[in-house]
Amino acid sequence: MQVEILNELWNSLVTIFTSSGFATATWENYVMILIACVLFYLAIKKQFEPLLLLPIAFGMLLVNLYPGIMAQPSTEMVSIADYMAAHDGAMNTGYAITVMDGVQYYNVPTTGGLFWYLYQGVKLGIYPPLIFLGVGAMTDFGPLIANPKSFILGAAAQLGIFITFIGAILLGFTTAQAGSIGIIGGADGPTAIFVTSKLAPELLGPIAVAAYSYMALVPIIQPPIMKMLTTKKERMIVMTQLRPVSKLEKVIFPIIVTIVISLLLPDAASLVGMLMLGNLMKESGVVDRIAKTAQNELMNIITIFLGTTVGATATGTVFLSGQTLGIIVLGLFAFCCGTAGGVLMGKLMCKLSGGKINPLIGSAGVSAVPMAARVSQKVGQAENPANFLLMHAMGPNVAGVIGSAVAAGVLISILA
Amino acid sequence: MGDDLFMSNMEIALVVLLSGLVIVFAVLFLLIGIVKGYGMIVLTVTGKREAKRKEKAERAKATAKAAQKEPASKPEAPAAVPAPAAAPAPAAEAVQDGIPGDVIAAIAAAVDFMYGTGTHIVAGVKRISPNRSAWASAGMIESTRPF
Repeated sequence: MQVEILNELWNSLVTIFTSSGFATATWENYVMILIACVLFYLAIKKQFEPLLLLPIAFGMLLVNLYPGIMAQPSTEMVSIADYMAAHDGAMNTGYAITVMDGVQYYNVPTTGGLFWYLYQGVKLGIYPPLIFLGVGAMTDFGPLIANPKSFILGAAAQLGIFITFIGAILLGFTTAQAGSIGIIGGADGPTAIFVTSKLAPELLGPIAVAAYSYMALVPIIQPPIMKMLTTKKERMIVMTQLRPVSKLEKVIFPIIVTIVISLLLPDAASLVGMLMLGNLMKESGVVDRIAKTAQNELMNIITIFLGTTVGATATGTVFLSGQTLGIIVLGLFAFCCGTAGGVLMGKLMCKLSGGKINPLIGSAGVSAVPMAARVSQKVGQAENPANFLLMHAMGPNVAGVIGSAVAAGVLISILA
Repeated sequence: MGDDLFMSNMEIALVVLLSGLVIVFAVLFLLIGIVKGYGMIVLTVTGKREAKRKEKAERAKATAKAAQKEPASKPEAPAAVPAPAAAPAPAAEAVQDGIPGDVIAAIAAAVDFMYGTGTHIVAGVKRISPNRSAWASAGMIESTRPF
């Protein structure tokens, strides 16, 4: 009797151990756990976009400890006799029955992991437009309306998307995959996810992680490029104050942009439409309650779901591959090209305007809002402490959001 | 076969590069035109409205003043007429560009302190026109510090 109990105890312990992470995790999982810890360090200690990096890192950690959290739901075949024996003779009429070799089986559905369900919002392209709704509700397009030329900088910063597209083709990716990789250069996580879910869903994990990681690393990646391409004199340019923008102009802007872009590029309509809906809710001032929900509760909830599930796509076996490495390198290249494109266009505009435009605001044309604008402000202020480029940089920054959505529409319409 | 695929992919890549850049720039240029256009219309309309409002207010002020003046015009003594404002006292030690001498002395002392005696000569001192006042700058620094 005692031996039997001890045997059972031993068997239970063995079962628990064999199903535990110690027995199932591979070296790739441990590497990913290490990477997750580095991301925790960057998010918590260095505070690089912690709102994104923290949930991404945690999703990454969790999926490499317990891969089942991203498991798809499936159907298990259980013979009806076994089922009844396990359920005190009760039958279940809710299950479909399959007959094989004269034996009847119930098709018992098993539930998937928690993150698999949350991930459907990413996979189906639901979260990105909702994030855009929140971004729109938080964005002030005033600097862009006051200085519409900022649109040019927002367009120039999309250069990286299209140059990287060629680079990805050269490295052997398909055209659809290359489009998804190139869009990382827009520095816009939701747009990258949206495009990838339409063009190359198989690359969703690495692309999303690369896009969000580079967005978080904007303060590290951009300044050397900005300094390399500009002179001290250019960086010290103080721009004149922007004109005040009336409420009427701010209310008309989202409506007009939605009409124009949706008519010209229907594929960009869901992103731009939601961005502008959020902005109209804010600027109209008549739906304060839902505007606040969009910019706070909704945005926060979607950020949690998006961040953790995007991180959870980075399982060791998928992530630590040559292809992912290629995506990471190409993504960085795209990002650098976008930054350089914006700064070079800023330089051109500086020359054409007779030195009235500080080229540093060009780098904000990549749409990492508001991080890229903050970087312009910081780099400018390092040269001239009395220089405040933040509001000037917000123009190209929000133009970059529209620009990358337009670029996404172009890629989807050509490559899908 | 592989070369053919590569060439066709490169063809697509060039088409995407060119059409992508052209479309993105064209759409954003179109938006520049539209934003500028409606901005001007809104500014003109609101400017006209503002001017009208001001004109009305001024007219109302003038009529109110006239109405006030009429009954009080007789007893009013000539002494009540406002005298022209006294001419401002001439600036005491305004030297170059209206900068007082003590400020120049302070600047020269600072230059001397930083660069050493006899090595630099202050050839001129001129005011730079700041974009905003010292208080506004202090406010901006305070509010943008977190960034």
